[in-house]
Amino acid sequence: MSDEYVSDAAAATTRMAADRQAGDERLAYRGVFQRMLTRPEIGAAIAALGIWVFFWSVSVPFGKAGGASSILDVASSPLGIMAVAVAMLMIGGEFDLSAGAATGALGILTILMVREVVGASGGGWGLSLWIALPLSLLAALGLGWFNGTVVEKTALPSFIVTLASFFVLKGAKLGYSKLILGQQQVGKLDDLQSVSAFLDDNGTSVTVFDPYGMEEVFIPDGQEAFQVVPPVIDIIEANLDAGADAFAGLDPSVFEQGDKGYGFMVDLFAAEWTRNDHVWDGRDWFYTIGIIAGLSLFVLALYEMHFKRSDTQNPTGLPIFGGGVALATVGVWRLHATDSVAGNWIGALVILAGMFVSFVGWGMWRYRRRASTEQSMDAMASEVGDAESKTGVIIAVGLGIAAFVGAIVVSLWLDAGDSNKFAEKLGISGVGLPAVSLVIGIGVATLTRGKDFTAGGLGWFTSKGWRTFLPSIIIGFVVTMLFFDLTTQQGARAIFFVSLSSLAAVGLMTGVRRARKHSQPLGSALLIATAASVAVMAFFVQSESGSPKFRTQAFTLMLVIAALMAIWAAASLLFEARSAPDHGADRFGVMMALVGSAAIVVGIASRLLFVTTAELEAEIPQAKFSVRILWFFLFTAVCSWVLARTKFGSWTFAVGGNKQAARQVGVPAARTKTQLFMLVSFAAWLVGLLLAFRLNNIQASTGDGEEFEYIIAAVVGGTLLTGGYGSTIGAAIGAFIMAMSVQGIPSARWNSDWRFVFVGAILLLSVVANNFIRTKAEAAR
Amino acid sequence: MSSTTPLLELDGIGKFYGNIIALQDVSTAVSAGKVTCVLGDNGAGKSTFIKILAGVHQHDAGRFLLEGNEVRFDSPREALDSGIAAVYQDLAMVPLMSVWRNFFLGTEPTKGIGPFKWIDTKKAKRIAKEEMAKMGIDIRDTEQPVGTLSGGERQSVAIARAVYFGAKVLILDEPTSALGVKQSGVVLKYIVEAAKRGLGVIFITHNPNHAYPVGDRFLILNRGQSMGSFQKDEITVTELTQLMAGGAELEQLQKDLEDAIASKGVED
Repeated sequence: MSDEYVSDAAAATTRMAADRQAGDERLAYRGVFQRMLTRPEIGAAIAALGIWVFFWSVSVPFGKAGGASSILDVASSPLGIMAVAVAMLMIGGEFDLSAGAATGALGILTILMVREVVGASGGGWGLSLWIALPLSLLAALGLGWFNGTVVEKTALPSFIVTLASFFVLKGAKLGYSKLILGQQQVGKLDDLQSVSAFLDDNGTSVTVFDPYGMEEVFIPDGQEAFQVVPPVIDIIEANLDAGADAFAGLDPSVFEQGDKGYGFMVDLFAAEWTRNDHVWDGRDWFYTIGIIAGLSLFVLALYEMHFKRSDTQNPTGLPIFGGGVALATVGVWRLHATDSVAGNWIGALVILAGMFVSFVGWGMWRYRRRASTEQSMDAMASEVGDAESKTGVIIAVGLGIAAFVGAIVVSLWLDAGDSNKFAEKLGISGVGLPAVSLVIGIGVATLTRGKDFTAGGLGWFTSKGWRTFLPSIIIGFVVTMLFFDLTTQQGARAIFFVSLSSLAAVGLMTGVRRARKHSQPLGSALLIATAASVAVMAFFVQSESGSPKFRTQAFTLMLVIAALMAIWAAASLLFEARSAPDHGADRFGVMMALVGSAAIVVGIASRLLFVTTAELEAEIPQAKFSVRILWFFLFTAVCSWVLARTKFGSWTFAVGGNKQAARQVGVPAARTKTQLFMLVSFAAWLVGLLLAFRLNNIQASTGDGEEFEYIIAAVVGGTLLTGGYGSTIGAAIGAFIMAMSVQGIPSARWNSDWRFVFVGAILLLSVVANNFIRTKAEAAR
Repeated sequence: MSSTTPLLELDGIGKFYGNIIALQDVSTAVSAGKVTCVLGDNGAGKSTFIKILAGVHQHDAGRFLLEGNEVRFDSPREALDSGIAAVYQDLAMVPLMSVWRNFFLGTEPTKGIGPFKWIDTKKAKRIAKEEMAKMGIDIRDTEQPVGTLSGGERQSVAIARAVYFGAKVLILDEPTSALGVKQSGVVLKYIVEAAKRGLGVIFITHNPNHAYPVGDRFLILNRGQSMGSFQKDEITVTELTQLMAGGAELEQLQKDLEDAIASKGVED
């Protein structure tokens, strides 16, 4: 067993090594799924997936490149960047209510610094952007330092102090812009965009050459050219109209200003990638391979974190793994080489077969084999014990299958009568699936709890998980029914699909888990049965659904889920699960999962960023991606790294979790908190710049009141309001959830005002779910 | 260090909060490899005493000598840097953080160049595990949050941490007060273990039965006053208890108690 602790530990740790083998009786081993639940962002990630599926199934543009670009846009800035920074501050145990107002204020400040003194309304300092940006950054950090220092020195709650900052900023923005500019917005930054102007020989007229090609002007010979910003041209023109000297009242230095760095900065903060301008026909290759490789790596990561590593690695596994990968690649090639339905089917099957073979090969290479299946079956038989409970299981599973078949038959029968009753059909078949799970659950509960069939079943149904889960489903159902237009098929379909499938999934997984606790083969058999029923559901959806998108994509998704479940079940039968922690393997698994996510991101990005010739010919709508998204990803990545891997990150958790304790061991608590406030105002500065370069004008009210949205995004992402626990990645996912509601509700043709109801419900649900997950995870330790 | 100079010496230390005298004229010494017990009832000034030693508060009177040199600490960090580590009653731990992060909190080992430094997590986890093992505690998973450990285990994390970071003087503030009988015994074992490794230990407690078996020297505080500093051979556990409660006061208390019981009998 290669383990870093054992290999280089001193004599005292030898005993631990022995313990490792024997298992430590004081510490219950937590399985890979339980370990994942202790991560704060996991609840948000699941919710984001669910909400995505929900909107994707009810709205046509959602999930296409255009929809994705606007979601990314809303999620990234201001919301995402601020949510990440605010999450760090909240982990450090403080709030910043001035964060929203600060974004607008810092954007306005930057614009004011570079505005021309000579402009029509005046009020600017006329600085170069190269000087203005560092200056406004200093101002931003000063604001953060002020907030932090006042909170620390006065020991007042931070929300009071920053509420005061909020009003000061809001007042300053409004007062200044009204007093000096006489309007509620400050602009225009694009005045800095330098243009070439030409004065004719007589000095009586000026010709402007627009470098961006909007207004190209013929330039006659003998004219004097100069680079200048638009307000200066306004003045020259005014002088000429009045018959005065063209340059009267102008400081000669205005001709040497150039664009003051505008051209560079506008690319840095507001560049856009236009999808339809970038054709790449090999894109889908990349996409398919990225998704398949990513998903496979996720499965292998689960393997790595779940199974016991074998003492001697079996080399025959590697060629089998390689063969599987080759087979899958051939499948991808087949998929792309053909357009026929049969060809697609063959391609898909070859890919699945290749994945399956490669997973088995990988497992043979790395993990310990289970004791032979025959022995397990014997063990199972002896464990099941008396005949009565055996009968119970047979009855339960039989009833479940009957219910399932019945649901399908009834649906088909309804179909024969009225073809518009899709929602009802799906409802009934949807009821069928949970019914199966319920009955299977009762059977398994009976199996594990002894003879009493009813008591076992009721025990399962009234267990704590269900008591918490059911109300949240019902609340979600009622809220959706009340506030959204349920008369459309779309609404009904979405609700049925999401609520019933999650109900069914939880039910089935509960059944599988209970069965596995009792006997691995029984659990695997149930999981395979579940996979089979999901596959049947998939075919049912494909043949019955009215929406083409729903038909093909939901079908594919469900098939992939079924395949993954079956593969997992088969692997659990073949290899032995771990019963003791193995940090080396965990790290490797996490690495594989990260590489897998990267592959998926690259795959999706290639699909979002490029068009194929075929799509261009079909005249798909335009989509643009802003550089803001990159800034958001970069900021999230840096903050997550800082939080997880640096001293400052550790201290952030410490000052939020127990400030007194942190100080006693020498953590500079006051400094850490002040730096966190400065991080938030740095983020506000960045967001201010992104806003300024995108809009050119900033309203005096920009950002006011948005601080609550940042806090909501952070909380949805699993950050505790009381500090000491949370995640920046979770906050980023929280921002995505908010952005999906912003984009999804209008694109599903509901009134966008309902968004706030949605946000409120999501907030409440996520807090409840996070609490539930955390207590469950803590209890499992 | 010559054997005649104690590691740490206090001479007539006093502390005042306005007109309140928290501590007055307290003198004692701590030598390397020895355990000095500070005993006192509630409100005797034990907390003030420990906070002066650890640099949280500063003394207003008397002399504070570290290895023969007079010192004055302005912050806990300074005291730590001079080798005085305090393990507080509330343990100075962050419950939601993992064992290894708590172990290295404030002094994380780093890798990297210039401003781009990151925590060497591998090393940190390994050292935390090894140091705990040296104290005889096998922490299986250093990623476990400290909040899930038992009281005795938390104490051991705190003590192992102080020992690892080169403490010369280890101050333990009521380490046994919240523990059961068995756990207290385990912690007392750690105290002896730490002294054996050459540390000077200051053990603060209000339980003479815990102090007497492990202590080499006893300082007794009562209402902010020192009741004397004794070597182990100069005093018995009974005398210790007497002094702690303030001798005469205890006798008075006993008399009051008897009166109360007697009058209760009359009323019945």
